[in-house]
Amino acid sequence: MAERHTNQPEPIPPLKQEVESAAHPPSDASASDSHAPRGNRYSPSGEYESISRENITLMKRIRARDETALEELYDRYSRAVYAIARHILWQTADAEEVVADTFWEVWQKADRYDPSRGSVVSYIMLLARSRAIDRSRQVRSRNAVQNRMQTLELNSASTSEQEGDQPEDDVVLLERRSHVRDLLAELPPERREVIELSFLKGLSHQQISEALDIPLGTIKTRIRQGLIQLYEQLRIRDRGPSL
Amino acid sequence: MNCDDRREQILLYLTDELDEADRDRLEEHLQAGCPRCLAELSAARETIGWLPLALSPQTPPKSIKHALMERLNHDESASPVRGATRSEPSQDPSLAEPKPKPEPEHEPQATSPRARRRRWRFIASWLSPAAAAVLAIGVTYAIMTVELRNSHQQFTELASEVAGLKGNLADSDARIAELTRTQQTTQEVFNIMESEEAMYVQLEGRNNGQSSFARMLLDLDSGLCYFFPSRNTPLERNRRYALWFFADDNGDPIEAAEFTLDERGPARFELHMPDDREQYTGVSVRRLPDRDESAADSSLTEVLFGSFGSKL
Repeated sequence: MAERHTNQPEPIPPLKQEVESAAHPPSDASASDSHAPRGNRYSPSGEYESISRENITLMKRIRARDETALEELYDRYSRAVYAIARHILWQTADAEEVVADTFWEVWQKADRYDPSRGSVVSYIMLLARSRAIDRSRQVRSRNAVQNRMQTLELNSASTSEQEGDQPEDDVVLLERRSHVRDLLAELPPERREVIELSFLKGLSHQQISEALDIPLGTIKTRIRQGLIQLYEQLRIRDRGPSL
Repeated sequence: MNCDDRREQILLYLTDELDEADRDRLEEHLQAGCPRCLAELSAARETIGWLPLALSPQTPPKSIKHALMERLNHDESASPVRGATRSEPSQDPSLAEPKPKPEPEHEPQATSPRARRRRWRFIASWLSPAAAAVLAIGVTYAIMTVELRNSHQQFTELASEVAGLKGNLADSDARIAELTRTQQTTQEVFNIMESEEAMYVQLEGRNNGQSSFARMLLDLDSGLCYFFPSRNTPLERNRRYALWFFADDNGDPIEAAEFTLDERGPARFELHMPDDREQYTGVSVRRLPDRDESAADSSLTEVLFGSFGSKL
């Protein structure tokens, strides 16, 4: 049963409110719901809000079976999807299939995206991560785990592209990237390590425990503390995860 | 277990690391619509979704996009415009051309009198006298048929008039029932308002991009609550909603009621009033999942939110 959530990664409910309404979200409508109900509601900056609206409008068009909208979403986020797929799977061909599968699923299940549950970007990235983990389970071996750990080069020049040369990435995405990196960099190294292995490499807690030779309970605690630290920081520093 | 403990569980849940028994318990709790845990779930999910953006982007081969778009081109559901040309003409009755009303069977002018006369003459010219006698009987029969037809029409009109009257009577019954009900509701609402323990809460929410609100009148003593949605309410009929009280100082929220919106007028339901009600400072209304929705879905999104202004 533990497979359930990775095989069917994010059960997305049908839209209960028209996407159209969310295309003009109130400052507290989408991600800020996550901070309800104690009034900790922020107003996303104009730029974030505008990208967020655009993305939700794209999802709405996809729902109406507009292929050009999917194409636009693909152009925006396929590079981020490919990056996470490459990190979890070290076979290029597998990662490419994950990209295709992710956007195909966005297309097929567009009506299951609910803007009140979170941003479009977050939705796509969670989908990609789950698809990649599904695939990695098919090809996993102990050696593979070791290999993937060795190739963890989050900021290394060898795996980076020069982001300045990437006009497809909008300024908000670039800003967000550097923001998330800063937050990761601020984590104590032992937390950062397990967070990266878990969320960027797609390893299970058990695998991380074996690979690092650290008790499972410690791994869980570090992941929990790291993640809480991250999302508190996102909440405080930020206009909120509202892209 | 309280909601503080569940915080960790939610993270494990999202990373698929929660064992089955704990997961079922957590899902049950989420399904009940706990506002605090659903908020945690949502925040954690959003954070996890953002993390991969830390990675340097990598451009997938162009062939992937081409293959995807090609696959889309073969998708039956793609582009309604193209789809419409492929599919059969719409069968939607609302789009169909209105059909001409069928002619009644006994319509006298189905054949014009002149044509009918012509036909009689034609038949008579080759009939024997005996046959002509039979024909006379036929004519009598035809006259009777016309009379019967007229009676039938009168009967139909009468029946329709009776049906109309009956309909009006039924309408009156319904109207009387509605008025009685309104009167009872009004009386009960007045009773609450006069009670020492009456409380009035204004709730806010969003619907279709516009702000929406609801009012809640409750008797803290009996727990009886009247819930008045605004016209632009985000609440839908025939759906279940959970109403939670929440506490300010990180105390656990508590589910106070489940309700469904009434077709006519306000929803009336009893709140489960907690013993230590002083610690609660506001209410959160969330939609409960449909049968086919998973507990993890935070379709259970908060739809309305209100503060007591003071503690209960």
